[in-house]
Amino acid sequence: MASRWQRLGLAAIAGPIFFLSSTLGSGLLGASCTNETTAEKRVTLATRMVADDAVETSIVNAYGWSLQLTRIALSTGPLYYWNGSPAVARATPSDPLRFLRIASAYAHPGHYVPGDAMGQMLQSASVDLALGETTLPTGEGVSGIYRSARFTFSETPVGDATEALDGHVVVLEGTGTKGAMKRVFRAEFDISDVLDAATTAEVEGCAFLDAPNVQADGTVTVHVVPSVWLDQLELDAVPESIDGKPVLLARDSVAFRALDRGLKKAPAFVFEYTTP
Amino acid sequence: MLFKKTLLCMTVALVWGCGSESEGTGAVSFSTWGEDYIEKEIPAATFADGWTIKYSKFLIVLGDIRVADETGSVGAQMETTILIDHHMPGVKPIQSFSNLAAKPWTDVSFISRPAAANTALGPGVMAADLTMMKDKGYSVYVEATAENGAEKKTFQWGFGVSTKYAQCRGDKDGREIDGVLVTNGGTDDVELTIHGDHFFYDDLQSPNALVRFDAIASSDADADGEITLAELSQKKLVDIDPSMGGYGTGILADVNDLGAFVTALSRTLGHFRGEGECIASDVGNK
Repeated sequence: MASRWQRLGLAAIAGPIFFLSSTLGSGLLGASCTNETTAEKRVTLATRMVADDAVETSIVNAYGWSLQLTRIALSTGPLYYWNGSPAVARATPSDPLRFLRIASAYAHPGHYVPGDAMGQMLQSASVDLALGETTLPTGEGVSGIYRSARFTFSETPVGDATEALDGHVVVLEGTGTKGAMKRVFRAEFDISDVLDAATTAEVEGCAFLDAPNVQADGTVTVHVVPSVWLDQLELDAVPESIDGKPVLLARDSVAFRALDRGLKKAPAFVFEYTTP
Repeated sequence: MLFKKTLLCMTVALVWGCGSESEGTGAVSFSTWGEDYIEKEIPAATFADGWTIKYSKFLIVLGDIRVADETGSVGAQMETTILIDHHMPGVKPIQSFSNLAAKPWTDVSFISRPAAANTALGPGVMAADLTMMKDKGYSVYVEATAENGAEKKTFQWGFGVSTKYAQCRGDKDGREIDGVLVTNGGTDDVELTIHGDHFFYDDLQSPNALVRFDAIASSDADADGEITLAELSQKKLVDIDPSMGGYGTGILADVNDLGAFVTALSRTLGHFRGEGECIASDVGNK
């Protein structure tokens, strides 16, 4: 009888290969250095991050709550890009059209296999996406097809939103209305809250829009889709704010758990490659 | 002189070998097995929360096997399906193909889809089961009992999903290969292995998923001892205590209850040559 590790070990062994930034391009280029026109070539990838919804206008989630975020503070870690396909794509709640743009992809039963490393951006940063689009440090990669990505959270915030994060990894603030109910809420997440089944602060298997064939320097935009986080949120049991200030969601509340589950969903992070 | 002749012969042999077509023909024989997990039980040691599962029925429709080479040229194809009950012991034959060119056929796929008019009865399967599968539109149907100490639950779940398992690869003679390898006069025996523990993973994407049943057991809303798919659909993933499992959904944004979760897992049952894998996709009920 195959052990649990043996049953899943094939995929785990085929898991991600980490490249040091100084060796990513040279390592791959070194394998085929005789003809640069046909070999993989190094590309520079600028990085941006933007919230796709729930900021300028509210969204209505699966339970009829109209929700809008006034703070989306994230402590971000490295980003990694792969040629392995994500699991079968499904529509995100906010944008049915997005389903049409994400290339149909397939799932290894029971797990995602990243495939070959194609690029990375290794520096940590912090952002408040409610303030608008943010530029992150520049990354690098090699030419080829990019199909999926890994988003990581950083335990120690650094950068522009450090103060807003106040030591946390994610801070969300927003308002919700449903019928006569109105709530103002705040949720604080620490690194232990965003660990996946492998106890890593990563969101694996995020899709690259249209599985681009990267052949030149360009920009990778991380589209954060807060409506995915908010989709299962119910605020009925959250106390009304008595002073207009956000009510902190209790960590053992169903509302906190709903957001926490949302933070770990790959459809909430969609990667896009563009050229000038 | 001898050296020159030897070198010439080696060169001719090398060129001949590199440029020659495959010689001869052989066969591929496909079978299927559900392993001890389905025939006997999934023991408590497998479960992170101590349950034991014993299947009394494990019906699955398999077929539409396609054997093609790297160019997509199809060497053999099965255009029908067969209903298998993996609770019955032993490996069951599905289909054999002969007179295939002796070479690697790297693009192999098979499908599990709802029983239809062209679904044959597998060895020992009751005609009434095939009728039920057709009437209900099931591709997979299971009956089982779960026990944990004094606690006992039963379930009967049917799934109507159509899943294609493609680009299959697995271990053959100690080496992982894509598809099948036909040798001159030989037969490549390929087992489509069905993993009965997959229904109980607590994550849809992570290779670190654990096998659990507590959350499923807690879904018995009317406490009648039977857990129906309808009851699972009423169990929101957000309501599962994290101590019962993470129930992560990975890339799937619209799986928010245990019913949808288990249905998604029903697409992960098929494997290749034991622990080998294919890429699974939804092909719809065509």
